[in-house]
Amino acid sequence: MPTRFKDTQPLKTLAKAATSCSAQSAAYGRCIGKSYQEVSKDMCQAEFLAFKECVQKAVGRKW
Amino acid sequence: MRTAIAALRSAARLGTARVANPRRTYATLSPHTPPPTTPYEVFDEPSKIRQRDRAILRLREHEAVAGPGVVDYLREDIAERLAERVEDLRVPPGSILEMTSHAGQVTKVLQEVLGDELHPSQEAGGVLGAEKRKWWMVESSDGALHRDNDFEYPPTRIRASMSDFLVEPEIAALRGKLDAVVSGSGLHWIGDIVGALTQMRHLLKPDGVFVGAVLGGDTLFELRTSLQLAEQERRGGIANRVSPMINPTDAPSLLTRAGYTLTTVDVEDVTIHYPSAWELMSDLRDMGESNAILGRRAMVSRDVLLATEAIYKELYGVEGGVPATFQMIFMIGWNPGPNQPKALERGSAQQSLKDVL
Repeated sequence: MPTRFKDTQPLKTLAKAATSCSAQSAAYGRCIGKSYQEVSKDMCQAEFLAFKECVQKAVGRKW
Repeated sequence: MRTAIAALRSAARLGTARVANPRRTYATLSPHTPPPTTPYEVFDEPSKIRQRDRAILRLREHEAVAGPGVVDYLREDIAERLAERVEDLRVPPGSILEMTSHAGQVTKVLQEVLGDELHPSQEAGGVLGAEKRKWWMVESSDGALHRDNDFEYPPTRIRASMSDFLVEPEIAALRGKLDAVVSGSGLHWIGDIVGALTQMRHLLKPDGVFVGAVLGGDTLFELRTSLQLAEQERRGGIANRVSPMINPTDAPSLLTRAGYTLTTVDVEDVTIHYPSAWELMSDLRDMGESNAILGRRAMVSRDVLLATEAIYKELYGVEGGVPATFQMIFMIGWNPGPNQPKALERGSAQQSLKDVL
């Protein structure tokens, strides 16, 4: 049985992936920053999904 | 189901509602219940100990692979500032115990600035150099307590719970025998802070001094708000991620309630810049300062973490990084003693202030 890769530092992996998606991250941040005093659920769904997709691609797995 | 509800409604209208398992919405304290005698518990102490032990284990692993990786910058900074305040004492204390010491960062700095020579007034039997300054360290995490071995004058290390340490026989033996109790970091994990301060006062000689620093007020407000906004947007609600902390304005009354006199409180803000929220969060974890509130959510989802990082950068980001605020509240209090200056009795003045002004 091939040994499966175990990620011992998941936070670092996520951090690295997120840094490579800084454009999408900034877009999401701007969306929240526009009305941060009135935040509701899924207010910036579209921006977040774009960000998340980019991160998922960089990490190489989906959740 | 619908018929059951209809039946209930009609029963309620008749004023004879008898429900087998009524759904209770609010619970209020009955006026006949005596007030609780145990203090309200906020923090999960066993978890805190585990987090600290694990942080030390991770540090050892890191050291084995990639050389020193100590994340002591915050504790060392607090220790330096605290030591300045101890240095200002007219007679440097001859016996010093450090509470919630972690690896003894405050003790280390104090040993550097005070050495082990006692003040002439403290010499036993007037023989110079017969006695040396004594040091103790008290910490709840074994890993942190025994982390360092490079002390100039080896302190006595005692493992004891953070909030209930007087029950430990080794500490109980020190009752009323210490010149000073210091505490650099860790008081912010004690829910019953007045109780802990009182126990520390019991360790002091009459006229002994407590010099402590506690993180509070605006500490980590950037992280707190970013997490709240991220969870609000991603999940539609917020969770307790960053501890509740004491306000600088509360500190004097905490000291007074614990029985200290001549209290002094001051506040210093330190802003540390990180490349991003990721480094801040992983450093906090490596310091052993992860969330340990009772009833916390055990994990943060990846989605919330990603959102937090983006929001942190947007709201607080500066050129090339993000700031994190740490507000240190320094507290000095004295155990009441016979020769301590006290306020004169009210009405005992011989001269009217009106004539002077």
